[in-house]
Amino acid sequence: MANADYFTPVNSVAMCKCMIQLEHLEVAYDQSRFVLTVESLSIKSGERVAIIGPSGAGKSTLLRCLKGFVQPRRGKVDVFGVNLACSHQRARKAMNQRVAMIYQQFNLIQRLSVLDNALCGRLGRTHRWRSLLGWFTLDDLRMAWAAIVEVGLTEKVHQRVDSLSGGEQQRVAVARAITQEPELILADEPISSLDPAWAVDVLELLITVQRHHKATLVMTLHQPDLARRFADRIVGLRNGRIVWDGPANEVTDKILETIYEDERKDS
Amino acid sequence: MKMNEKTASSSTNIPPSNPDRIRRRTGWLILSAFVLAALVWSVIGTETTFATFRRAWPNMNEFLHRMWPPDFTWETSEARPFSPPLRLAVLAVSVTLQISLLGTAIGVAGALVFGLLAAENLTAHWVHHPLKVFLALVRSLPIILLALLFVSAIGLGPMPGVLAVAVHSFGMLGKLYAEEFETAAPGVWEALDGAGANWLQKVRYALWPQAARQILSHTLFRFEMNLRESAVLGLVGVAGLGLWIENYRRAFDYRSVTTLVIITMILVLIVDQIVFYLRRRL
Repeated sequence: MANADYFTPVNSVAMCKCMIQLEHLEVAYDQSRFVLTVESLSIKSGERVAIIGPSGAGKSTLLRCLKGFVQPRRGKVDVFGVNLACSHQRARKAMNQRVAMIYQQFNLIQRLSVLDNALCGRLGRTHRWRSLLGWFTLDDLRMAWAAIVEVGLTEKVHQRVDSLSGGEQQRVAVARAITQEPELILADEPISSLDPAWAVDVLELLITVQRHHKATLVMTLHQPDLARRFADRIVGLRNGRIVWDGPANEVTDKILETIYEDERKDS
Repeated sequence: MKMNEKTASSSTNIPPSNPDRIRRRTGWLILSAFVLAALVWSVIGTETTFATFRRAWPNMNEFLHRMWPPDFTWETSEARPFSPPLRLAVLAVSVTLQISLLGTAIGVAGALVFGLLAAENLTAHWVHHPLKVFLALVRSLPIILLALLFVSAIGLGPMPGVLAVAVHSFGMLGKLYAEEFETAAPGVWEALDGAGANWLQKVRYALWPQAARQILSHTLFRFEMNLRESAVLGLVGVAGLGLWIENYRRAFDYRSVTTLVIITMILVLIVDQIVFYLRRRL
């Protein structure tokens, strides 16, 4: 074992089995103002984390940092031991397949069917020319079908996405994430454009999928009570800073008040 | 609606004046004056007056009489320099159709590639900016002028027509395609990027499904326009309907000209209707 340790690169990720490790992170969209300042945040494999906070607190920015869509001004964004803040383009591309993202606006191809959208999760792993012609392999089809079964849309597999309701569309997005075989699922306001009944439904699905595929789930949510119900850890952001980080069941109303303080003063 | 104190306290019953509204109205007034002046200038320059028309009337009348009735004979006779127009029509119509089909196809192929490269959301500004200028330069040349140049370079026949149609369609469709790609919702692109898709895959799945309908519609419309254009390319020596119209006209065989003009109209109308139907079905 000692020998094995000798060959493993000595970094914090390998040592604490953390999937995500942020250190001294600073994100700014313009010269003067920092959108996000995170001293330290680590998320272990298999955790279910909800990021909550008032609008403009930097929730989405934090999530997009983890996907490599946003480049920090300073600091380290370590996901699976790859530093997204300074890694080569190619290294970041390789990460893409392992990290799936769910969007508030679904970002599905409206004019294509549920099946085609689910298959899009396979694009990173299919042969370039085959996928351009729409010839997916049997394995891809099997995986897409399994994902569609999992999200419960077997009846509508050949229906066009724009004929589905918002909740169903978000299920298609989850199916697309599943076919990606992700180790980390990021959900950016997954339920903000859904009505309450569908919202709980989609969150339940996300949790089931996360458990079933032994993935890590990091999501941003607007509703603190849903965050307490569906996450096992809550990170509270206010003005781009982490003001609370702890188990979901320890979040009291008092703590929520500190997180949402600014918003109440404004309105 | 929030009102500021000034407006709220005013006792008159009319809305407060808005400098924007006044500026807009002045703008319209100035524009109208300019347009009117330009029209007067054009009338003077082209002598488009009723007097000119009245002077030309006897001549026009005679010309129209020589054009009627159209010549629908089928038999060839020794007295005529050319075969009767109906016999030629089949070939002439085919060549005109072939020129517009092939020309459009070549133009589309080029436009797809350049449209992608000229779209602001797909390439760096030093790529799409010069390409847009290039496409504008290409389409600034009218088809008939291009045909004239190609006829001089290649010689008489249908091929210079194909090239002329292709080059102009390329310039025009390239710009339209680029605009369609630019309007595609960026979210899907980002989502597929996040799923690990490469550039071509993103084009195929994020852009194409969103832009395909409009692109096909533009293409069909361009084909229809190309058909009209290739019908007149005969004037500069490209084979097809126009060439025979010109030949008969030079031989003072105006009745045959009428026949071919009618055939051109029927052809264009049929294609116009088919294209209209297809575009509505898209």
